[in-house]
Amino acid sequence: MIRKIHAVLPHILFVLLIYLILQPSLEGTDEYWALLAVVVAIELALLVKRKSLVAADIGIIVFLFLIVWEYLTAKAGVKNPLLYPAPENVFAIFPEDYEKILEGVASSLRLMFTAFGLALLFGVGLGLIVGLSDRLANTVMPIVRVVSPIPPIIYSPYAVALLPSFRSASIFVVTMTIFWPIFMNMVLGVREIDRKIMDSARTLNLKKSTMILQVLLPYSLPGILNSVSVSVSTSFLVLTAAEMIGGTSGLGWYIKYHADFANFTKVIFGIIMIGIVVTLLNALLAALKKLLIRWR
Amino acid sequence: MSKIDLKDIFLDYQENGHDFHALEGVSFSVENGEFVSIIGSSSCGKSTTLNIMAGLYEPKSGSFRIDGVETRGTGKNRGVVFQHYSLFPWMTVKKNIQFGIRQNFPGLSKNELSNKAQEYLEKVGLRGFEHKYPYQLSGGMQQRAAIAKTLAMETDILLMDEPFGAVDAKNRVILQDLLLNILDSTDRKKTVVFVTHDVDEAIFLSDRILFMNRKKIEREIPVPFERPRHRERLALNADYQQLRRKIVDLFYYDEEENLHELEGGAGI
Ligand SMILES: Nc1ncnc2c1ncn2[C@@H]1O[C@H](COP(=O)(O)OP(=O)(O)OP(=O)(O)O)[C@@H](O)[C@H]1O
Ligand SMILES: [Mg+2]
Repeated sequence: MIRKIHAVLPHILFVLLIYLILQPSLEGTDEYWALLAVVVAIELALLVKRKSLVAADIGIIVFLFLIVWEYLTAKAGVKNPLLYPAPENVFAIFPEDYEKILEGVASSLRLMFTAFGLALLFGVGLGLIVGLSDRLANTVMPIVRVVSPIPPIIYSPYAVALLPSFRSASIFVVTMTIFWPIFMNMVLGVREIDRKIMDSARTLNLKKSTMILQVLLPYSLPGILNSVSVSVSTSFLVLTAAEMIGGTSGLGWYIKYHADFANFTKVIFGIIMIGIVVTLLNALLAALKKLLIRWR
Repeated sequence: MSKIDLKDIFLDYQENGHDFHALEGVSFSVENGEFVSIIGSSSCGKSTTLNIMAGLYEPKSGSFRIDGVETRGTGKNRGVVFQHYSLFPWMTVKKNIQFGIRQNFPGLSKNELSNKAQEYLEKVGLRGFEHKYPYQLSGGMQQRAAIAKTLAMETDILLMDEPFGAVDAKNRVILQDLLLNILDSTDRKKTVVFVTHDVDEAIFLSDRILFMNRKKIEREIPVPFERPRHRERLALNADYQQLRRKIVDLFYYDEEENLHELEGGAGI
């Protein structure tokens, strides 16, 4: 019985929310089409996932939040609409500003992918080189343990001064954020590989290149991908922070730019977009992990 | 000339800065085509001895020869099956077997590689499991695949370290039969060294049993039963029971001796 109510509750809230949106709004509230589109999209997603109680829970929370937000701003108008914009206004930004926003997302993503590529290349490459040599590992790892915990955002001002453009400085800082965990995981994978697996590999008389490509890399891959998925959110945060400080494009810049004009409707919209982009990046990584690691 | 010859092998492990003597004068030989088991209580050095033959460890002193040639390091003439992890967890069963074959037969075409892997896969009864990952198989099936992989490399020498040690009693018997059947059915006789804890397993499989104790081989016990062997008939054989008793006694005899030693030591 309770389960049944639990399952239909988000849909009841959906109907309530739609009803509320369709009621006349206060002056200054935009057209509700964009908001309606978003709400219906969420409801459709819930219908697809209707077997999942977790999805139902999330739906309940999201719809409740939207109902409260919609009521307090567009209908009751209890607060200053400049600081607390109605959801209609926030979502109406998209059709209005979508070229600039998509451009910002694309610019941020291009930078992220460049940084990921570089971090993967150098993390795996240097990790292998250091991991495979006792002498290098014994020398380098104590230094790495001191340097790696320093958040790369700390040395971003210096990077900006040294590197030719702000963009290259951002790429450097984001790359460093992801590089360390990949590098550490690779060194660890090579040096602390299960002795039983190593013994069994050695009995096959592998060439060094085969040992690296077919044993050490696949063995370390799960650790590397896990560290990447942990650092993907952090690195996006670093990137948007960098864009806020000195960028001329990207989502961080978009938010900072409109905050300077006290256009908090656009600021909130930018924040929501960042949430969506981070979620998409995480989903992409999860899919990649599933594709590459089918063996456990 | 013996196929394998170990003479006065010593080996130390480094443990918290000091040396731990793991082998103190291991000597024995194995003839070409012979099946020899090494048996003995835990920690007596069976795996260490086998790993030296595999080329994974180097002895501190002593001589290890194959076909009369002093040997160090791993080699294409030896295949090894361990109790665990003889398969790479990131490759499917068939990929694992193919990977092993490719190391010893680099010239094979893709097709030949696949056919050879399939042949051995079917020999161990794993048809239909080609594309499973090791984690999707039971312990017994994993060991079947491990045996297929090592046999497919077609080495002269087969080294096995408790390959059925983690398999339940029923499957253990099935796997023993399977191993003997495959070994009997190949024309080129393989030389096998097989480490086990199980007295019945050692007798059923071997031509000779090496009893290991106190870091060396203490006894060599011939197993005179004709092949092919039948488990049930063998169990009823009086000679078998006598041999079995004799080996089991070796284990207990030594424990008593250890007890005396302990008592004597405490007295001093
Ligand atoms: N890599 C190692 N480092 C240090 N000591 C080791 C190492 N491997 C084995 N030993 C020690 O050497 C001794 C012999 O070990 P070994 O594995 O050869 O015994 P075993 O006869 O195979 O025993 P089991 O029947 O339990 O497998 C044991 O006391 C063990 O603790
Ligand atoms: Mg052992």
